[in-house]
Amino acid sequence: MNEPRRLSQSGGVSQRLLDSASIDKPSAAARRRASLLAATTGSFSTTSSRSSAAPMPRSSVVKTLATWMVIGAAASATLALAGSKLLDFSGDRSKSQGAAPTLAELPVAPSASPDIAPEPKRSVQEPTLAASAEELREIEAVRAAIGRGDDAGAIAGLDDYDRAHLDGPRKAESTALRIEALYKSGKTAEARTLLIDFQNRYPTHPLLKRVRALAQ
Amino acid sequence: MSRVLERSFSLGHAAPVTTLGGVDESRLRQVVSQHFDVLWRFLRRLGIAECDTDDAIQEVVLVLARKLDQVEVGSERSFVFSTAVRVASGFRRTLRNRREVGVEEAGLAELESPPELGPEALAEKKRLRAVLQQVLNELPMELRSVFVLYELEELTMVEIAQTLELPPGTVASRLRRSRELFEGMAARAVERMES
Repeated sequence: MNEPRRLSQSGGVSQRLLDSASIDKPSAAARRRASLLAATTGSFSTTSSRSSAAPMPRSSVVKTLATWMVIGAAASATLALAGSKLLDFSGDRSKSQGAAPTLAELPVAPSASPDIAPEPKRSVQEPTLAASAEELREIEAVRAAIGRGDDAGAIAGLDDYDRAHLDGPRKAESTALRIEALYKSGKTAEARTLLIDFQNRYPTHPLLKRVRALAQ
Repeated sequence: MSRVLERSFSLGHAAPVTTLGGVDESRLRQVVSQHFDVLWRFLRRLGIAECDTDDAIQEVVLVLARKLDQVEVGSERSFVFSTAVRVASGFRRTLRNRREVGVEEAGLAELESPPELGPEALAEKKRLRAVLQQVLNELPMELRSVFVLYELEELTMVEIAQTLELPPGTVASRLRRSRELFEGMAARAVERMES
């Protein structure tokens, strides 16, 4: 194929313009961003494809099975606990003849509500399950403290919870409980501020109605 | 869904990121590192604005990650070029609906200034570079990609035919046509700039 002489060697206006392209050079920042992108894309695709594309070593299969069994057991326990709470709650309601339950009496939400941004996927490991169970236990303890009128204890428990789980999946519940504890302990201004924040962060959360009711 | 993923679908890439096949991570990093400069300047020369360059690069990297196992060793640059042309075409279609990329926006803010140029020479070069982009932007994409690959990236016509998967005759006719258009527009643009 006959190659025509390039315009950058032909002189004249075209050459002047084409020569100006010699300053095209990306900045170090742009290069860093691309390297980071390649690293994250590579890692992500490797992780996400492992289950479907790459053959998994036998030890990993066994480990995965064991992990899923643990998950199954934990999920069953959580559902059973939530179910029993729900039954207790129904019973309490019938006893109190329609009196609205307090937040502390409400059952634990079985999962994060849809209005909260989904959590980043975690690797399925036992520490995550343990952490989840720990969170549940802490929330339950706070709920119990509010139930027996120990508002200061509940707030202290919520402080501990916040320190341990900065953005845990039960953050909305813990915030709602804190609002209730604050109202009950007479700190209405603080509770109101937190309520506004709760409304902004979780505008469609099922607990919002209950939390608003506390402010009235 | 992010803008990039939406465009990945619109460009006809069948699978989203989450279904990427097994990828040789170290090879991907190596290819990106090795061809980043070429890819960056090629995208810019195809008319991708500075603010969109990261997005465009991301799209190319995603396609590369997904298809890397099908790219023969030694053909990476060609693959990067051909993917960049498709990505740039997609961006141009999107941009046409969103806004036109002006000369200023074709911007050179993130360029590293060549140390050998004085401030005046650099300013002059930047002005010319902006005019060049204006002229390139006026070429239809199918002509622009051939023109940029030949005149600026200095590929041979055979390499361009292989990269863009075009018959050699088509490359030759596109190059001829693009050069005619470019020379006419360049003369007028520089005249306007200097008057």
